[in-house]
Formats: sequence, C-alpha cells, structure tokens
Amino acid sequence: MLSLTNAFAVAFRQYLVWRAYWLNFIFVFVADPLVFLYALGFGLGMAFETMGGVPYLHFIMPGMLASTVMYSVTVDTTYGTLARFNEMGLWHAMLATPVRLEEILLGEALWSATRSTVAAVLVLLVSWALGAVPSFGFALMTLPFLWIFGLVLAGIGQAISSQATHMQSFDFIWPLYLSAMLLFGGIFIDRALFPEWVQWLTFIFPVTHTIEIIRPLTLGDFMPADVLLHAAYLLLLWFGSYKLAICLFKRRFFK
Amino acid sequence: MSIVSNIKAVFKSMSTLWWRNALVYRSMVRSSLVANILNPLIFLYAFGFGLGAYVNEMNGLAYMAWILPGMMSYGAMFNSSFETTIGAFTRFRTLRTYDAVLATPVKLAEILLGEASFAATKGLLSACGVLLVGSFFGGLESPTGIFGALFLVLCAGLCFGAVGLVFTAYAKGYDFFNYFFTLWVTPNFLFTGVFFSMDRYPEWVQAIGAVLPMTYLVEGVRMLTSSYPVDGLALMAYGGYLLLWAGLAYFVAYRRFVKRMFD
Repeated sequence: MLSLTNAFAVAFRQYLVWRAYWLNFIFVFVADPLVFLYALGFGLGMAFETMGGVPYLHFIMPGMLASTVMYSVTVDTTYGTLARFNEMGLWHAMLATPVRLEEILLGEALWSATRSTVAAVLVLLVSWALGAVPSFGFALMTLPFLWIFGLVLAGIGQAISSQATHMQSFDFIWPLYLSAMLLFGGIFIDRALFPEWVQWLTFIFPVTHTIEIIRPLTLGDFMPADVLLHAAYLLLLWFGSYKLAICLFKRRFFK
Repeated sequence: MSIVSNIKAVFKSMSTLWWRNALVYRSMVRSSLVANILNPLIFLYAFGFGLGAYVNEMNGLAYMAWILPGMMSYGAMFNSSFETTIGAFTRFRTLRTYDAVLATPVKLAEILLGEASFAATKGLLSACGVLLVGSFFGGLESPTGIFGALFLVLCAGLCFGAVGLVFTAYAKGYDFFNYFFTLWVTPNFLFTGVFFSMDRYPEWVQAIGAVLPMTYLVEGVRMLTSSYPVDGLALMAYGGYLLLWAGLAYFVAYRRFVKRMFD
C-alpha cells in the first residue's frame, strides 16, 4: 500500500534542502519570467496592440505563470532527480528505510509542484502590482490548476530521468520539449497563428490545456465546462506519467 | 625576436587546448547539435512564421528577415556563454582538467584563451546552422554579407566566452550561474533588438541595451544579412566594441583565476 506519510516525509526532506537555496530559486524562477513579462509585454506589445483579442500584456501574463512552473518543475525532476539518485545515492539510502519507490516519486513530485506554485504566486502578485492582471480574484483560482500542471510535468520529468545516464542525456529536452511547449503551447504566441497541423499537435502538450484553463481565468472569464474537460486531461496525464515513471524506475533498479 | 616566438608558443598552447575540447566535443556531438542548433531554429520558426504572420514588417524588413540575424546572434551568444560557464566550470572544478593541464608546459593564460576560442567556435557553428535553415525560410536577403556576419559572430563568441569565464572564475557552485543567466544572458536576449526594435522601450532601458555587446552583434549581423545599407565604418566599430569587451573580460577573468588558483 502506498503510504502518504512516507511520501510527505520525502516531500518535507526536499523542502528542508530547498530552505538552504530559496533565495537563488526565487531569483531565477520569479525574476526571470518577470523580465520576460516586462520586455515582451511592453516592448513587443507595442508592435501589435492586441493578441487573441486582448492587450498583449494581459495575453502573456498567464503564459508567464505557466512557464515558471514548467521550467522549475522540469529542471528539478530531470537534472535534480538524476543527481539525487545517481550521484548522491540518495534514493538508495531512502529505499533502505520503509519508504518505497512509489512514495519517493510521489513525494518529490508533490514538493516540486508546490515550490513552483509558490513561484507562480509571487509572479502573479508582482504582475498584479504592474497592472497586468485584469481580474485578481479569478486569477487566484489558477493556482490549483498550476499545481496539477506541476504534478504532470514532474511525472514526465521523472519518466525521462529514468532513462538518463548523465547530465548530457537531458540536452534534447530543451529544444524538443521545453522550447516546443514554450513557443507552440500558447505562452507567447496565440496558437491560432500557426498552421492547423501544428495546432493539433500542440494538444498533446500539457501546457496547452493549462493555458486554456488559466488564460480565461486571469482575464476574468470562467467557463466551467471547458475547465473540467482540460483539467480531466491534465489529471489523466498526471496519473499516466506517474505510473509510467514508477514502471520505468522499477525496471531500472530492481531488474 | 623573442616576442614573436612567445606569441608562437602561446598560440600553440592555445590551439592544443582548443583541439582538446574539440576532441571531447566529438564524442557528444549528436546530442549537443540537437540542443545547440535546434533550439534557435525552433525560435526562428515560431517567431518568424507564427508571429511573422501577425507582425508583417519591422522597421522596413519582413519579420523573417528581421528575426534571422536575431536568432543567429542568440544561438552564438547562448552557446559561447554556456561553454565557458557550465562547461568550463565542470572542467575546472569537477574534472580538475585545469590542474592536470597546468602540470604540463601550458600556462593558465593559454588555457583561458583556448576556452574562449573554443566557445567562439561553438557559437559560430550554431550561427551557421541557423543561417543555413533560415535562408531556406527566406530570411536571408543579402547572401554576400554572410562572411562579414560570421566574422562578427566570431568576435562576439570571444566576447561572450570571456564574460562567461569571469563568472566561472567567481563561481563556487553551479547555482551561481543562475545569476549569470538572469543578470547577463536574459538582458542580452531581450533588450538588444533580437525580436523587435529597441526604440519601443523607455530611454533607461535603451541605455542598458546600448551598453550590452549583443546590441552591436545583432545590429551588425542584421546590416549584413538584410537589405539594409552596409556601413563599413559602423561595422568596424561594432567589431571593435565586441573585442574590447572580450579583452576586458579576459583580463578580469585571468586576474581572478590567478588569485584563486595560485594564492
């Protein structure tokens, strides 16, 4: 049986480590998206007043929330995860206790999604102060969805790192996974501007569905039916990637 | 006479270091090419075609012709910067390559020159890849300008490589490079006219952009690859400014490395 207590213990361990470098974390995952928000929102926003029918600054604000979660979770569950189980031998140490592999994966994913949601809250607050959030009340409702998005990415990141042997193994995720989601998932550029086949392909990405949920919310629209549909896909993807990661790691460690 | 032979010796050691890095690079060239060339290409496609359909023209250029020099410069900057920060730090601290090399007749100054020149080579490779594909996308308006453009990319590679070495000289761990990326790479990416003309920003942002070397790389490459008129004097000034940054940064990095390794 999966023990949630054990998973929380793993998550808490991750939190304790994070406390030692939280300033660096905030600097990267909060300052960087805000610089992008300013540079593109104000700079590019003047080249064309609106995108997708709204001012460009309002358009990319939710994109920045999603991208900060995307980068912080993916870096943690690829480079970070590989360092923990390979170089530090941390997972083997944990497995010598009553904690099981499923609980390690779940615990790390829980913390990874939570810390990235913390970063998203800070980005949201500063954007609100800059006047980039039309509807702050609804915008707060994006947070649970960003957290689920974080869990999905953690599952995918862990599944990728189960196949990795060294840090260079992750080279491919920058263009083929992260940049592809950043550019085609609707973060900066309205997906409607791309050819139809590209638009269909992007429906695989979790980020596309997250954006479809959170962009209307930060603009003050709430469409329950759409939200349910996209959230259902995210949950399905989370469950699938979590199970896949367990299966792949079991094959790597115990066979 | 002795100056000439000194220069010869420095050049020999430097190229040996360059060759050493190239040999290592050969073993991971496939995954590295994917990351280093594909990434700017995806940006080129998404911005050139996706946003380009929306923007149409930027300061008199088709958006694809505007963004191609931007992405060449971005690829060059990112690769040169990465090579002398994360890459060089791994060699310096984790692998202890510098200590091993210093046990031979090669000197520290030559190691750093080798690192910077290899970084410039990687930047050049990335820019060539973007240029090749970008010209199929229709972004190259002036094919005769490419040699000048690539020469400017090489100067910029030395500059970004040397600035990366400054950060490596101060770094205690990999976390430190997060500051490098947020404080140096991101502003060079966003406030230098890569995506759109800088005159859209308030003056204080333009002033920051005017100091950053990337501004002159993008501007020079854009002058050479697009239908803009070529101003030879300006190009020489841009190249000189990039090399000035390279020289200053190299000097600071060298001083700090000496202090750190030999004191």
